Amino acid sequence: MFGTRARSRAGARFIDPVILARMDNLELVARTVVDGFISGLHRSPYLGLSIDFAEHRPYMPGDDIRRIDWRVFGRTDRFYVKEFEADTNANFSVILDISRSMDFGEAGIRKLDYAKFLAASLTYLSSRQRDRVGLVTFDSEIVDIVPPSAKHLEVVLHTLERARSTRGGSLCEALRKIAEVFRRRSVIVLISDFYEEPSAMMSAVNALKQKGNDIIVFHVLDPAEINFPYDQPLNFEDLETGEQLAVVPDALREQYQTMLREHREMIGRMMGDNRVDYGFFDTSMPLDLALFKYLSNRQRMSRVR
Amino acid sequence: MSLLLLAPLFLLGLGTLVVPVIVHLIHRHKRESVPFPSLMFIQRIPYKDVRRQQLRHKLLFALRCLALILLALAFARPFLENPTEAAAADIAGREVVILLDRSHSMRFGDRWQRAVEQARARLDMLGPLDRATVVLFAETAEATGRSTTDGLSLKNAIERAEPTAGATRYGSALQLAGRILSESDQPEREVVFLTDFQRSGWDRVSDVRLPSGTTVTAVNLSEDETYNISLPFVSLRQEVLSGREWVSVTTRVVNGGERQVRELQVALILNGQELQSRTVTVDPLGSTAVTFSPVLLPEGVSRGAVTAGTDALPQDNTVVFVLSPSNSLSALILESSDARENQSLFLRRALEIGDRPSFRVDVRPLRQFRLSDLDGRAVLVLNDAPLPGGRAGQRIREFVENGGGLLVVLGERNGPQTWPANAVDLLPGVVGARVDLDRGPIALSTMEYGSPVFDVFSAPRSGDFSAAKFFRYRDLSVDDPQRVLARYSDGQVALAEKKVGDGIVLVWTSTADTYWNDLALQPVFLPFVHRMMRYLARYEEVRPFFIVGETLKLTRESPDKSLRALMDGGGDLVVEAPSGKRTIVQPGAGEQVVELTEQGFYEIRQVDGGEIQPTFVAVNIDPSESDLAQLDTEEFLGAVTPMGDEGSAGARARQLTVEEREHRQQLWWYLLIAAMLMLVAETAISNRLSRVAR
Repeated sequence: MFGTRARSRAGARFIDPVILARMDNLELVARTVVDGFISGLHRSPYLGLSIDFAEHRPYMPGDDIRRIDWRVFGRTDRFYVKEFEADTNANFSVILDISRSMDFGEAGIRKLDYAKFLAASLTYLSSRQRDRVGLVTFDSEIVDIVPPSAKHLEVVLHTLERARSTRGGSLCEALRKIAEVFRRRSVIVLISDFYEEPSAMMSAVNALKQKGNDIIVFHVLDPAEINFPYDQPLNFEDLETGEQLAVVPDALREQYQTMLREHREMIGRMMGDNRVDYGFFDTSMPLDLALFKYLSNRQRMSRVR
Repeated sequence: MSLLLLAPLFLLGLGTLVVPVIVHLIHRHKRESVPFPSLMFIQRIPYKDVRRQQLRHKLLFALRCLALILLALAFARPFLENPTEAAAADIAGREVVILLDRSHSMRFGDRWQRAVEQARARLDMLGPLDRATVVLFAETAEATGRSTTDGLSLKNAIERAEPTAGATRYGSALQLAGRILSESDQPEREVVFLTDFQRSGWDRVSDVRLPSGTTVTAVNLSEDETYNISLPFVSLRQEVLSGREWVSVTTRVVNGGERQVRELQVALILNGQELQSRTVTVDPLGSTAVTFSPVLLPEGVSRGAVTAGTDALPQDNTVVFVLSPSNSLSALILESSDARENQSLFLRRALEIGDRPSFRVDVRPLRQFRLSDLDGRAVLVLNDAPLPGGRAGQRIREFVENGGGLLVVLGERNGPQTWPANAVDLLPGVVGARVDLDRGPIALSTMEYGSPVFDVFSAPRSGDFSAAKFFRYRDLSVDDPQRVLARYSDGQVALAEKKVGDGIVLVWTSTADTYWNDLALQPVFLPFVHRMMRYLARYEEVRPFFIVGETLKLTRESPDKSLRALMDGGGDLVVEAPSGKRTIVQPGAGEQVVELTEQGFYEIRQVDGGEIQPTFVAVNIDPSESDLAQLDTEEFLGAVTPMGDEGSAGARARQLTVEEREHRQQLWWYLLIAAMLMLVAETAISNRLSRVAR
């Protein structure tokens, strides 16, 4: 028992995103990430358990005998345990940027795939918390909408699975349209690479937040975008606009890194100022570790609040 | 030497240099585009075109450019312009003779250093099949070794060589070069002249020509403008005043340059002490005489010098000399007891006048003659007096046989009857009867100018014997015409000579006064008598200086009294040159010869440091070496090149077409190899960079 648990922890924790990318099934990915993440957390992530009956299941040794449904025992002469459905008092939606800029990856996994894993994992996690889960994908327009529902896990995962980058993106405009879709307070996770002006983007995010939504922003970048590791003069092609530019990377690497760092810091600061949770992920970071870090931080912050 | 191109149009290939430039500047930017999420930040960065235009991989770029340049040059077929050097660099199987002038004039400025550098450069151009000889020449020519392909040994020989004090003589060098080339079996022959082409070194009369087919290369090491002060001459006039001997020194200062020399200090130095100085101005290409006041002649042998400033050839600014007290010749004139009044007057007066040499003359009747009278005498004159008989006659015979001079003046009293029969062998012929010229006087018509007696009269207007009238003479039959030195216009003998032992006997067939002729009244009488006396006494002047290249004879008969004393002193002598080089001389081994090769004073002394005072010999540079005037090089080359050959420098090389010269050099081949090496290196580096990039 002890050994099985240890193996499970070692195998599940800090799973390389590249290995996850080799799995075809997003649900499997989500399970792998979330189960390992939960088992490694050493404490229950289940919050707000419901008392609504869900189903009966046969009694297994170790089950609390207080949960045995004696009525059923009286009718069937078998021990059944009552299962209760969790409380579904929260909507959880992922807003995923699938613009062309997300279709980039030099670390073995594209940003879009990483974002999908992240979205799937969070959706799966929320679903296990009995939240209603939904999904919105967008580029310059809204591409797909899966309204939040307790039964939409598979729909969400399927929608994520077939999401493809086909067009350039326009985060601000898309977010404004999405804000009109959400009529009920939700926990909204926005995943994007945020190639927008921080102020314009913030105003769009605020449009969501003003409707009482709890916004969580995940900023996903590839290590190549961060470190700019090119050394030869190259023609860079903007994935969104198709524009090409001859660049001598050595000459502008330092400036580029500085500007990107300032951009991230600006986004993080503006989000913090507007009480929006902000998390930064680079696609080389193990997914469960990223989730663990983020959720730990969020839990700590929520207590402070 | 410069580079010419056989096919210069191929240089247009240098235009391909734009290819690597484009490749290194632009090509890298045209590779497949790299997708990037957003150029949002990159577009905000001010982009500098300069950086964009930066050349990448400069080493690779340089290699590619160099390879293209070398290829273009190789196809342009370059070759060296200098015909002689180009030929020298490529012609195989040549016999090269390098004539390196080491005469004194090569000491001028840096001529010698340039000559050595040129010689080394010529040796560097030798091909593997070429053989070479280095000939060092001045007055004589000397090969440093046999003809060889070993350039290193020849270079070492050149390094060891030094310019000498000798004069330039091109004839000897050409003769030696001609012999070396004639003995060579090499198909090509070349002579390289490394000299200053001094005009004085070339005797146009000598017809020395190099073997046919010889290429002559002339390297003129002289400068366009030269400035040289020289003292080619010094005259010493010794005279006795008030019983003491004084010497007056006169020299000539020559300005060989084209600038006037002002305030030139000319100093007289005697035994290391400057006695007098003069300040002179010498015109361009002119000369001026400088005479110093008479100075008292010290006892013994003195070393003197005259110096005049300094210049690029300082050795000829000094002329050295040796002074020694004059030697006088002692002569005894014997007259018969019944001699005419003033019979020896003209002889005595003539001899009293001379100072070089001076004569001590004693006139004595025959009956007063004593055997000791001949001690210390150089010449005995029997003036119309017969040879005495008995011991006196024997003494005179011994005197002659031991080197003394005897002048027999025939006349009224000195005839066949009076001359002892046992002394006839002293005379060059048989004395006959008196000849009276009743039909009129005759004159001297035939003189043997090769004889020392008459050699000074050989030049025109150097003594007119024809003015003298002879009315009588005594017949002298001489069997050997070689003994006759002068004849009258009737063909009879006037003066004859005979060697007896180590001495000389001269017979004058007329009187020495005005009794039978009036020669004694003619101006030519005095030098004639002096020349006879000098000849009989075997008198030689002690030379105040020698010229480099001459030889010094060390004999017991040397006119130099101090040298004679050393030779007679017994024991070996050492001759020490100015450079300190010593030569041991053994007086007992007979006549010894020492070659004088250095300027300055040679000291001659006893090896064991005996009591006899050492003596000195002064040696000066040949005055012709101070004349730096140049030959016409073309004329010279034309004179030494065989008839029918084009004798100027590089003539043979010019006969080659440019195609032939290029073909012989084949520089394009080396350029092509270099280009290939560049491309191989480029490939290696390019592959390496590609791997790194991947």
